[in-house]
Amino acid sequence: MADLIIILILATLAGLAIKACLRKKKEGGCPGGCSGCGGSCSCHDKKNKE
Amino acid sequence: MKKHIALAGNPNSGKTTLFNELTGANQYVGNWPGVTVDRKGGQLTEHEEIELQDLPGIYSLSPYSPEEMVSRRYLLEEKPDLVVNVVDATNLERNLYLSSQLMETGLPMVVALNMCDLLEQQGIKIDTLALSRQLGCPVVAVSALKQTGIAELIKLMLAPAPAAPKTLSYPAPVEKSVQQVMEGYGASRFEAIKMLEGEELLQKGVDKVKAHALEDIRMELEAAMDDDVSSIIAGSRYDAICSFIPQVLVQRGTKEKISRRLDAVLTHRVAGPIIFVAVMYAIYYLSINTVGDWGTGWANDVLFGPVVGGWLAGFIGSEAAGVEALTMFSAVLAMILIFPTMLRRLHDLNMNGAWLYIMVAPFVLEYVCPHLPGVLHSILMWALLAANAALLLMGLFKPGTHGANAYGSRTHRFSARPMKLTGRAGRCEFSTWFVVMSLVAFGAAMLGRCTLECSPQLQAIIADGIVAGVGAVLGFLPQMAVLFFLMSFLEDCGYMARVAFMLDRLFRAIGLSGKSVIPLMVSMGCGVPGVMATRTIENEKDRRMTIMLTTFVPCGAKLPILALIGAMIGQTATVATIAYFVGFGSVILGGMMLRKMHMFAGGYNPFVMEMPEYHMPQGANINLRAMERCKAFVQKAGTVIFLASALIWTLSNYNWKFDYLNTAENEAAVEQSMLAETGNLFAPLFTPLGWGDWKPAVATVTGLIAKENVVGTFGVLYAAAEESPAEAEAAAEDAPAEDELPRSCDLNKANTLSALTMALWQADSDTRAAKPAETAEEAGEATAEETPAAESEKTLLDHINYAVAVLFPEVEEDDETTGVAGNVKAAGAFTTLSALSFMLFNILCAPCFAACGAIRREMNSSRWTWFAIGYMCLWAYVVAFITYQAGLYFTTGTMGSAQLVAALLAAGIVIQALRPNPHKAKH
Repeated sequence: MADLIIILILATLAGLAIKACLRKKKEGGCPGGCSGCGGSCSCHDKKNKE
Repeated sequence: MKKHIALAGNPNSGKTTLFNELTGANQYVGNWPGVTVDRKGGQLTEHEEIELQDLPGIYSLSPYSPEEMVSRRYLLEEKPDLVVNVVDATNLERNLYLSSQLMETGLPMVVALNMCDLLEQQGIKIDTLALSRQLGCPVVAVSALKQTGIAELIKLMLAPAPAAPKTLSYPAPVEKSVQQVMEGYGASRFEAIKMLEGEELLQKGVDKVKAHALEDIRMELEAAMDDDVSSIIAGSRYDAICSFIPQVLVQRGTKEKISRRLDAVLTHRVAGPIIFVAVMYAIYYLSINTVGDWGTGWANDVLFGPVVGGWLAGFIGSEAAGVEALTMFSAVLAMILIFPTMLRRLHDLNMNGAWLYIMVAPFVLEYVCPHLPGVLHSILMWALLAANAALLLMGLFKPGTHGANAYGSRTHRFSARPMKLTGRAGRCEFSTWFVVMSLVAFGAAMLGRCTLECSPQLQAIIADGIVAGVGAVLGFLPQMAVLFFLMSFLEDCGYMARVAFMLDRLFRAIGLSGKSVIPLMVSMGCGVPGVMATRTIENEKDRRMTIMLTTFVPCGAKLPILALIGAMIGQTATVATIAYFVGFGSVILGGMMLRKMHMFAGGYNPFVMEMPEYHMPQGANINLRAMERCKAFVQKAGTVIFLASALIWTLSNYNWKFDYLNTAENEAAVEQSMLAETGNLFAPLFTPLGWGDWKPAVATVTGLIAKENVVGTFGVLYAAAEESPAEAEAAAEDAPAEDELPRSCDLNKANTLSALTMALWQADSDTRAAKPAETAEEAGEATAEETPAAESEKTLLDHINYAVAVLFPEVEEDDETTGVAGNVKAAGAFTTLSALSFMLFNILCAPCFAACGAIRREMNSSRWTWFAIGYMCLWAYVVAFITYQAGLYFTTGTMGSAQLVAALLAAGIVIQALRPNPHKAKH
């Protein structure tokens, strides 16, 4: 039972991580953080919206 | 009915800051059709009928760059109701050049004279009324940064649009030619001047006869003014502007500009580069050797050691975590969850730098206080405590300066996304999140008492795989945070623009485009926007060459590799600086070599760049930039590194038959794992570089996913070596007994967390004291411990000191390298030379997949993409090979075939770089 709980938690975390990676890939954003390039990347769209 | 207002101005005139101030959160971002230029629009705060359009920063309305075309098309075709021309008051003459063209469009205009605060500092005053008379339109002095003059500007925006401004008067021959074109072609004044300048866009559709007539008018003007038309027009504009500047500038600063004085030194031909090297060394020294190292040491020794390890053992293992570990876990987790809201709260209180104090104070208590004499010790300690308490109380109860949770006057009780870094948080929001997140953290910490007793394999994948890998990377976060903070400071203060200027001088000398400087500077943060920034280079050959070279500069993701290798060698700041300049050296050498090749021959782009005045950066801006980078670092650790660590652990603990190898108990079994057997297939390729073992080879390959993965992989593969029985006995003798104070510290080391620790420890001690011994062994231990009565006699001081001793273990003067660097060093995986070779290879070889994807998009050709990646890998291999083999020669005197090949390669590189360019004569 304990193993099942942990496996479920790990699977959820892994799923969230994969989802985040795929979302970044789709956006084509800057994975390394914005270094102020002046908006030549799609990251700025999201940041400016916020 | 909606009113459309456009914001137009030079780059760096403060247009976007003003736009943010006017629109707050009511913004949207899209793309202008047909070009890769952002389109930013928004509604004026509390006046949704006013639609604001932030046009790209431009120097003129000539249609040469995408930004200029976009702005011009919007102004001439969509004809906004009002143009707000944002002018940098500290560069009036240059900014008014665009203003003169905007005036000729005939659109109603208001001039927002921005950066007036900087003007005051320079001792200069502008007579806005006089300027308004000269331009024929309203002029308002504003400071978008200090938020002054905004209300007056908004009034002008809400008022009925003023009449179109008057146009500047040019010399008689010019005015005559303009009139001729206006009458002959039915053009407006703006169009007539542009047609005279030879703009092809406006001449489309003009028949041959009229085109000849236009040419005649141009030739007549050139003959009259003895110059070409473009120069005549530009000169006329500047002459007209300069004619009224003396009437407008009523007071000039008498003191020499500090910026010019500094530039004389900082951009000097000889001193400038030396100062740059010194500055970069100082930054790396501060971030990786000293300040950041304290945090990394604490993270490796405490956080990912007894705290997270203890919690994990209590959660999934069989031994409940101790109160000290749980208290610390709870405190750290609460701090992480509250941190973004705390930053926004500090921004609301106009105390943006205070977060630095909050993070540094515990380390000052630990590392500085003990060295101070008694009275100073007490004073500093109590001052820090009082400041902590005051900050907390202010955060909870003091009204903010603006009382807003976002830019603008609209208030929100709670932000939609508490983890975001921008905006402000009110006291209601902060106090709620403080309480809620503290409870969440406490609840999460209590999970450390669950003792689920999972299977050993599951415990191993979590502890030795995920936590080891992610912890190895996150352990470098303190160093990265300090580095990002210092780099943001450098960028914001204006110094990096001077660096770009110095590099441009060097790049032109070696045949690189001056515009290549910007992508390289951007790549220091991340290679993805660096590659994308090459879009500004018009020449295709230059652009391709820059794309191939730009990722040689160490990006943020490569910094943990530098820190790891530096820690192993023991010269972190020196290693980091060397790696940095090897990267730049690779760019220069690569440029010199590639320019000689036919596929990159020719092409030269002039480079125009604005050098902003030096100024003290805004705390909020530095915070935001540094924290965004830290957030991205942590996000990557929680996603890519998390997945990769789990995968690497699995592959290194199972063989091809999926039998569990249990490498924790049998280290040698790892050689039978899937990962080892696969790694051994290609590891021999790296033997000439000095690191032919499968572990570093695998780490290099995983670095293609994300460069931080190299460190994460090391964290998994080089787990802490098991102690021998003798070592364990010696460690047990040295370890303080639980009831003994680890060192002679006293109340001076207390902090707010320790009080909570004391309370929980006391409660736990009482519980343990009341619980009867279940076994004889436990009964024996109980008699050896102090009796419950003695336990309860412990003073507050004792409790606090023990907790602090757990939180901040004493660092021995001859302390060994800790964390993943210590594990790799202990495993004897590298010598100094092979470690350097490994570092250079990983820094120079193909970038991460995200950057490769960016290269593919920008190259728009698979062939060129593979060529670029192949070039980078080959260059990395050659540099690492030369470094290792040359190092072997100089350190051991070895002179074999490998050293000869290295010498030949080095000679070949020098020859190719220094030989005359065979294609130069053709251009």
